[in-house]
Amino acid sequence: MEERIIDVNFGPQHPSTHGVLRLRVKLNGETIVEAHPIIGYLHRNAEKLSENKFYPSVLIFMDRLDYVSNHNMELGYVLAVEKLADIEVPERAQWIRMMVVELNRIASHLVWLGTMGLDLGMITPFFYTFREREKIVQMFEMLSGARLTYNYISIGGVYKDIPNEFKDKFLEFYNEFPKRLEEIQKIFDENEIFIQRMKGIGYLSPEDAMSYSITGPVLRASGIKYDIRKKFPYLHYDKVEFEVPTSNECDNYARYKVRIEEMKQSLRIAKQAFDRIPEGEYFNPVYRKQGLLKIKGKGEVYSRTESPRGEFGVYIVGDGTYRPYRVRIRSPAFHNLSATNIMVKGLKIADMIATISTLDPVFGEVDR
Amino acid sequence: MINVLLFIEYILKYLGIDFSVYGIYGQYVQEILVYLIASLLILLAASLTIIIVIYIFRKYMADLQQRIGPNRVGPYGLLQLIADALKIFGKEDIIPDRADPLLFRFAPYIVFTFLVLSYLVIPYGNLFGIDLTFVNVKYTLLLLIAFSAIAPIGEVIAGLSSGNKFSMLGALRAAAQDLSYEIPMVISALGVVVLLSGYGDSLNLANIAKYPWPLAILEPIGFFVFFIAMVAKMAVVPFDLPESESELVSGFNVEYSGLRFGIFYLGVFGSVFLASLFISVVYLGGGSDFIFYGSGYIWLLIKAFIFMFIFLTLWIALPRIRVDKFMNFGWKILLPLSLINLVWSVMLVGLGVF
Repeated sequence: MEERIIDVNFGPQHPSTHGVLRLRVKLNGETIVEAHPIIGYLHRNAEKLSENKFYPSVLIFMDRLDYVSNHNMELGYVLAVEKLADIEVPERAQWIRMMVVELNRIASHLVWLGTMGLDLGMITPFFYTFREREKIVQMFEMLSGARLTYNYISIGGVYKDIPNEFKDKFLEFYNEFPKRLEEIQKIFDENEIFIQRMKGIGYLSPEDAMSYSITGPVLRASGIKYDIRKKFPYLHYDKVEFEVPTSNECDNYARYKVRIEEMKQSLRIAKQAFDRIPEGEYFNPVYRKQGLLKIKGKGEVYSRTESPRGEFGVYIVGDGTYRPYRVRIRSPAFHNLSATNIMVKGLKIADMIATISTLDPVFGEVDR
Repeated sequence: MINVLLFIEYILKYLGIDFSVYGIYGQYVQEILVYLIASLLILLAASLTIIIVIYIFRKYMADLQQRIGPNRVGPYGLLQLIADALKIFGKEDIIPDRADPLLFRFAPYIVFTFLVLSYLVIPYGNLFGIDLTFVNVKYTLLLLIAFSAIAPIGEVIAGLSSGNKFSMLGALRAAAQDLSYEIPMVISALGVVVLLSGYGDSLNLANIAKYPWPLAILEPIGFFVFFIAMVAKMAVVPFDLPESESELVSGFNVEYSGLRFGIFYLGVFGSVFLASLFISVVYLGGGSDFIFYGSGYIWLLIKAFIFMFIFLTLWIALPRIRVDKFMNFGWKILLPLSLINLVWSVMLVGLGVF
């Protein structure tokens, strides 16, 4: 039979491209010959805009990078500025930050789990995961007053102290979430079609993962135990107990498993952080008095944090003025997405969709 | 027990509408009038069924997903579908430049017409002494299979005439899927035909449905194959390959809008209920009387609704199977199973067990 290769353009408006991913796909029947991601449809110029803003004002751009895990984005930038300007942060704020960031990781993975179901044609789990996420979002609303762009983690501490009602809400969530997660997991794991669609699909070898500088759950699912929280601990990650789930399967199912395990570990960390929040200031008293706008920095810093998608790096060059000279963001989803072609080559269209959804790209962050 | 056509004729005579007094041509006119009324009856019933199925689907899905579902338009959201229909009629009917305009316009009607024709063939059983069998020729089973096999052709035409790559892929999938479930379906239905060969015309659906006990107990393999084939025939999750929203955007109907899209949409739900009726007629005794005389129609509806809920649950709960996996499944598992079932039925008949 004669081979006819057709060019198909997936996206940027397509139900399962997680935003505005565009894929130029060469198809031979249903089989993928080549797939090249084309990005930039959500480019908002966060890096360049930051150069004209005061240090605390840049935070709003960070909030809007990865709109699924905003706290993580804020944390990366805030740590960098604190390192640059040598700002001390009270203990209470550090523990609160850790708890909030881990809760945010759970929320982010829940969004991923639901949308992955949608990509496979399962409509129902989406509602279950969003129901659970809603509880986390309500907690964040208690803390910061916002549901999406929190702007909560601030330079020098956190924006507001924990309200009293938060305690009950958190404990309720802590007790209930494992049960709910198990329920949701059952929908996926006890489904033969799901297993067939995920196992052995989208293979990413450890060598490839490393050479494409892939990080986060995708890397760990390829069998490499690399977690910045363990390797280069920030906040108080060296003082809490948690495990880094890995898998040697390197396929979609492994990535699914790793993320599920990560949610459980995140809950563990959040609980430990919650228990250890000390009394005291939640914001640096010096800066509370003089305001954040007077922050100056000279030199270069790079802060790396483990966002739900991988290593989120913020590189800041300060020239001694009130504004950063250069802000560079290392976006994990961008690097993860670059491996699309080697992962989906030779697969069917349906598998390509599933594979990309296990990479969990968020385009606010990819395009910056 | 009188046939529904005869019943309509009596009613017409009772109302004083009788053309047969004007000689032989008058008789023809009368007959055509009766058929026309019967067809309209089916069309109305089918449309009403589709509306009910859509409403049930929405509420049921909302319930499983911990939502409320339609609840604003009318009491309990009952008029939501009418509001949706009005919205859809108001939409612009776009025909893309690349499309073949004639076939593009024509395709939705192929799907819907043959869907309604399939409804016409189903024997609905006995309702208070009226035999609701509209078409009672010798080979209604073949007729039903043939009608329901034409609907995917409409999908293929729609996909290929749209001039869109996604819809083309959807059309190819529709064709491939059609082939891989149709043959096992026909062969597993043949098992029933063989089994009932001692009971008169066993290719006649009304005759098959007259056998009151569920044949699914005698032929579990055939029932299984037929059930899977029915799910595939409806082209809903897990076998909604021609449409597969998350892969091909909307598959074969991606370019359709307005009324024509609405017809495809109704067609899906129409085929869900048709499949439920089909499987209950062939494998579960259909509209045969049970316990009470004249209750066959109600039993058929109960059976069909049970099946409908099973189909809808599958739709809501499962992910989509991959194309090549489904083809493998159809040709390597369903087809041999249906052949085994055929041999099994021949054995049952030949050994005199049945």
